[in-house]
Amino acid sequence: MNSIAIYTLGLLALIAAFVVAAVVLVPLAGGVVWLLAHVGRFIAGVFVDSLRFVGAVILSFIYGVPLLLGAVVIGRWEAVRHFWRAADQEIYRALACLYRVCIGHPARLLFLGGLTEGFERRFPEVVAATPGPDGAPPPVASASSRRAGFEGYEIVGTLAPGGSGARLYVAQPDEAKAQSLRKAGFAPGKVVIKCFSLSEGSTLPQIVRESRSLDAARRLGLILDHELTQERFFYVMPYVPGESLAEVTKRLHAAGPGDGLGAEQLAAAIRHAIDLVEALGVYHRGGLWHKDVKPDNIIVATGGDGRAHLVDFGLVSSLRSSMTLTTHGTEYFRDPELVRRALQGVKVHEVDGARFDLYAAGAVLYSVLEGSFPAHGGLSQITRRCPESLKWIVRRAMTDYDRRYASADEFLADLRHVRDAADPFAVPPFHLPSLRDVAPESAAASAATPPSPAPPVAAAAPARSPVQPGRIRVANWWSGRMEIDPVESPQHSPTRAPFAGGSPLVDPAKRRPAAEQLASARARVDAARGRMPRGGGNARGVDLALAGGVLACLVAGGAIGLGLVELGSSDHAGNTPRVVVWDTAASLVQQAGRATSAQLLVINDLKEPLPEEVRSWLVGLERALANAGARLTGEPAGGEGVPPEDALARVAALRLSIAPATPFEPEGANRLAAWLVEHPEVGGIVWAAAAVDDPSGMPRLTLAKGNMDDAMWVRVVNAAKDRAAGESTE
Amino acid sequence: MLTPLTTGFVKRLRSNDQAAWFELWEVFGPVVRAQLSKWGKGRIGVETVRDLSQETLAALSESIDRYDPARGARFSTWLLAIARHVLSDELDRRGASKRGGSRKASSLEEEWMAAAPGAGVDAQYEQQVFAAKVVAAVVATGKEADFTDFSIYAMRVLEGKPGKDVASALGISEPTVSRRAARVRDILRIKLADVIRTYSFTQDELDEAARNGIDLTPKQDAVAADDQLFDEAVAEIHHRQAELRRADQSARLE
Repeated sequence: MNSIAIYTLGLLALIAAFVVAAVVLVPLAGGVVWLLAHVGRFIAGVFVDSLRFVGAVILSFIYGVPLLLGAVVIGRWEAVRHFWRAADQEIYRALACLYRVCIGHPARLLFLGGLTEGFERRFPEVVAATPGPDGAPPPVASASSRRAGFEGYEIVGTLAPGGSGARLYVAQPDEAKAQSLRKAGFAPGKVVIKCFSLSEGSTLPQIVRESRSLDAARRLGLILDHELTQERFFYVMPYVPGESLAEVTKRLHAAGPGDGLGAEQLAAAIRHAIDLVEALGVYHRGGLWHKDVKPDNIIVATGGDGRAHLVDFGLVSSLRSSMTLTTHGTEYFRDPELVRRALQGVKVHEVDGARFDLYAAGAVLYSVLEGSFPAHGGLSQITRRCPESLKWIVRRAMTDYDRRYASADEFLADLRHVRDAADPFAVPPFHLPSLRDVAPESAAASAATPPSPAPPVAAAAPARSPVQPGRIRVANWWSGRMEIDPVESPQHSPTRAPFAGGSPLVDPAKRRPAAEQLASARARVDAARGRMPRGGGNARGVDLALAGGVLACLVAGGAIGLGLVELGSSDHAGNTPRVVVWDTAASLVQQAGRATSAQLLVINDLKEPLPEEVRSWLVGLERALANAGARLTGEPAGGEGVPPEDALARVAALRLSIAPATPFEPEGANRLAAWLVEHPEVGGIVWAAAAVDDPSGMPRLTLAKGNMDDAMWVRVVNAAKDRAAGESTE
Repeated sequence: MLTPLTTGFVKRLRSNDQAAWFELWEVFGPVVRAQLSKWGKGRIGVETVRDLSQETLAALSESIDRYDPARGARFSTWLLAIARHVLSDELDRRGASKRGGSRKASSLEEEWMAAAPGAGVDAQYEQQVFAAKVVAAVVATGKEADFTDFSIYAMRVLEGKPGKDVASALGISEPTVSRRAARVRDILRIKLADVIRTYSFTQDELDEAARNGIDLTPKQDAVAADDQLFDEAVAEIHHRQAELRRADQSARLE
């Protein structure tokens, strides 16, 4: 019995020992392991940070002594600044490591991490978010922004995204990029990068819409840089530190006397409106329209010139686009007529998009003067204290599509008149330039006529004489020869105001664009050719086929003989001719019986910065062309500084009108011809572009004849050919 | 008893002419939204009103094919009944989802087809619909009239400026101001008649203008007082509608 009891007690003792071990010892062992791991993390942290400290000190020494001193010795001050910044960052990193080794890790080892956490995380964030001198919070760089990565740009912060789904980064161009921007004529300050990325929620339609007109906008200096890849699309704009016009408006009204704007605030409001309409003028002259003009898209610079800048090019479109109008835009600032026409399926080039921008500019001016949005469209009344002339300007800008300002220039002239007045309240509307043309007597005379519900001429619209190229028609179905019908008198349709934009466009309601007419005419030629009997059927058919063949030989021979399409003065690189000459437009222009012009439009598609050799070649060419009697405009390489705005606008319009064709191909030649027919003031075009298959880097030239005098044209062509042939020997 | 203009407009709606739908929405959208806000006060927010008003259009689009003029519903009732249908539909849906059950589908036709003229329609709503028609006519007049003439009319009548001030602002005489305003008034009368004929289903709606002091067919020997009454009525209605649109805008921007 005793032995059984002893065994039982022993078994119980064993079980108890196991239970005690399970309950007490295992957690104890776990605690020991955790403690060892904690100490291990401390040791590893101290070790790693010590290594980082040493590495940062060595790097800062390398940046600070050999590289920085070397840059000082050779006098490269930009490099000095660059290495100084790099050394500065390394010193900052070294100090951070030192802090962690001496304070951070020991504190965490002693379970005092909560004490230091505030200093390590929240304190730097608060210091970094300290408002600047203008009161605006500084841009904050987020982890995702650092990940974004744009070659040539260092991201320094982000901005609040707009409604387009894009991310907005503030970035600083690196040295190489800054240099290239400077060479392109831009101030290399901070920039804003608007990025659409498929991996960050942007959609393909958004990217396509945004990318559509940016190349043209870039040519006008509105975009510094852009890139489209399979993954993302981004473009770079100048960064304007400031606040939106919506915010500025609130401030202006808060500072005013209570019932509207005071004298000072009113002057500021007019200034901002002028800045806006000037910007729109640049767009329109370049063949573009903004499409989303609203106070939130206008940034008033807080420093420097204090100008209002139009930003967000997300909806920028070509005025000549063949796409269907869309209803994009912002309610209250979008003309209801735009929506109506979009819903009718009207194409962009069938309307004057510039007028929709002008409506929006009027709505913006209304919102600044009234302090609220125009809820009632063109019938919205300004109830606050405001000069009568400004009310008139707003009404004129927001009135019916056909009756509003025909161009930004008209709008601008009225605004400037009010700005220049000593007292804007003393300016009656009839003193405005847009109304001066309507003499009171004529108004009275028109009033004496019996009332008629028929739409009369827009009385306030000044007389204009838009270019009226005649209609192109096919004169010969077989050869495809085209002629111009006599020019229509603009008085024939008095109910429509002249079509305006920047480039001398013609009211599309009257006719289709010349390029379309040409394309259509060619299609009709092809169709007519297709209907021709193809021989074999009867004697008449054989005769026709024979006659056709002979005629085709004659036409081909004639084309060569007359220089209708003359290819290649020098077969410089492979089969690529150095000089391509198109005379396609010459006969059409001459048929119109217009005066000849010596103006030669120079277009330069070569990538900047030009190699010195190429630049001097171009300058030599331009000198030779000038010696031939031509008057050069556009973008000559030998010109001083930036070409005039109107020349750039004209070049941009031409580029838009021939896109997507190139000037070297027959389709491009057709479009060039159509453009020249529309622009009789241009005698000819010289288009320089890179010859991709030419290792010498020398450009390839396209010459297109307009209504330049024949003798002068021969001299111009010979000068170009001589220059092309002679460049290799120079 | 639909006029040819109404028939034409309804035909455009039936053929799903987006521009016609936009026109309808532009003219009557604020009125419908105001009515929905009124009914749904405390129960639905601005966002819902905005969504519902779009649903109203969709419902209009579906119901237009089933419109039967013989039932005698007014145009305003048609708009209203559909708005109410959409709202009650939304409230039913919310109630059903709270209870966790399904809802009983309500019949749109039952709600508005049988509606007798005036039934369930308050006077303020009728006034707003009529005001929307007047503003549509003013907008149409602005498209047709000479810009300066229309501006003179707007300054003189809609803004209530004295003729002398308008004359001095434009450098013309007061009689010229009166003559040019008269030209616009004549166009406005024609446009008003067109708009009212377009957006009216019943004779009662066609007679609404006269009841609101707007004489669309003045006699040949009409005196200046008649024109003045016309102008005052137009100005008052215009201001009421402008007020409604401002309130609508404030609600939407909240």
